[in-house]
Amino acid sequence: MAEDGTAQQSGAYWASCMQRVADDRDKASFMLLYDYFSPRVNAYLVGQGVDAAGAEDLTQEALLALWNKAHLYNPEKAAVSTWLFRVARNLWIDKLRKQRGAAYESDEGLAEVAVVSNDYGEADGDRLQAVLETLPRNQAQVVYKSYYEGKSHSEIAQETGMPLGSVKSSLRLAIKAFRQHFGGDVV
Amino acid sequence: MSRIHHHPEDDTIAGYAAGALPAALALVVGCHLQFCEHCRQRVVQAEATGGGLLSNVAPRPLGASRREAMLAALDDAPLVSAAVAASSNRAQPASGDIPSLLRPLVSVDNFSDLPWKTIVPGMRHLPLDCGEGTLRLLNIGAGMKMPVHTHRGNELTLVLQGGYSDELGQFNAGDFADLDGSVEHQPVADSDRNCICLGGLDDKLQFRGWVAKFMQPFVGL
Repeated sequence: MAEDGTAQQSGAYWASCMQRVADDRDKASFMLLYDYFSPRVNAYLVGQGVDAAGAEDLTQEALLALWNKAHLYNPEKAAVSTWLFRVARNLWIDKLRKQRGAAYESDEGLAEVAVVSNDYGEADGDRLQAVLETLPRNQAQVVYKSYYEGKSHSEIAQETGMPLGSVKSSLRLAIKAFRQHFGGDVV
Repeated sequence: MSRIHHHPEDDTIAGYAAGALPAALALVVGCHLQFCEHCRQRVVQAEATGGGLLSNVAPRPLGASRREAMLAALDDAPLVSAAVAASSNRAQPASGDIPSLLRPLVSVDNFSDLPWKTIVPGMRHLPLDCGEGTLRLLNIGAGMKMPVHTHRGNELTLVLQGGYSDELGQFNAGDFADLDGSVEHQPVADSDRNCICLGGLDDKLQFRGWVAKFMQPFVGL
């Protein structure tokens, strides 16, 4: 099972695992990725509203895509976590909000994502969490509901009682804070 | 290729990357991305934020049999040929062509072949059924002056052909209007050709519709 007691590994570490999967079809390296990421992808999918059994099925599908498409992965272009996030997002959209799928490029496009600055591309969970904890509660809440629950700005406004304009400005301020901490120069 | 000067706001990009925008809004953003390399990179950054948050979520272990099942699946998995990696180059939509993301919603290739419906002389529209929210194409006659109006925070507009100018500047094909209620403007379509826009509205909140708002000054709704 996943060794969640261990310190979180860096983006570079996961990228090196992916490289070995791509080059040598190295199962041991793949299972390191599996043990770390599958419980997290599973938690993310349940957060989006996928039922427990369905979330496990989709998690397996996402991780198997990582195995099958490892040769498309380019560590210069995206962190493993970013790649998996995109795959997992597309999977839950396909299951729960199929209409939205039409607005996204197909999976094959995963290979050709734009180059992002490494600082930001490898933003790891610890650093993001540190920034999240410095945010005012309403900003953190809007980030959480957007990213973990897939709620639209309007739905967040309805749930929290915040005016729509405040939902949007809270999210903008949170993104600004992320950008200041990670030095992204593109957004 | 004309330069794009007007882009979605950060919260719109984040919502798209998170999968949180209703289909009508996500499609307007997706079509803008087909024009705009800059915003494609912004989406990747927003997805990197999603990846960081994914690393950080409280883990939820899978059932005991799943790990063995994955190991077994690795042996069965077909090798995906490298040919799949060949990039499906995102062609920027040619003027007059309907963006590829909208093709499944319409049955024709060209704007001029669409079954436009007249709202008032010089202004036509075509509702598109995207299944979530309100999505429509708007076709504004060359030189036409729109009524003064404001936008709501849950409404997005993308210019697909032609252009218009307003208090914020000139909007050409690919430009994106992500305006909130603080902006009151009066767009005037360029005089040399019709201006075709894609508009998305999230109708989760009980607002009056898009056309009603545009029509109000004309017919006193």
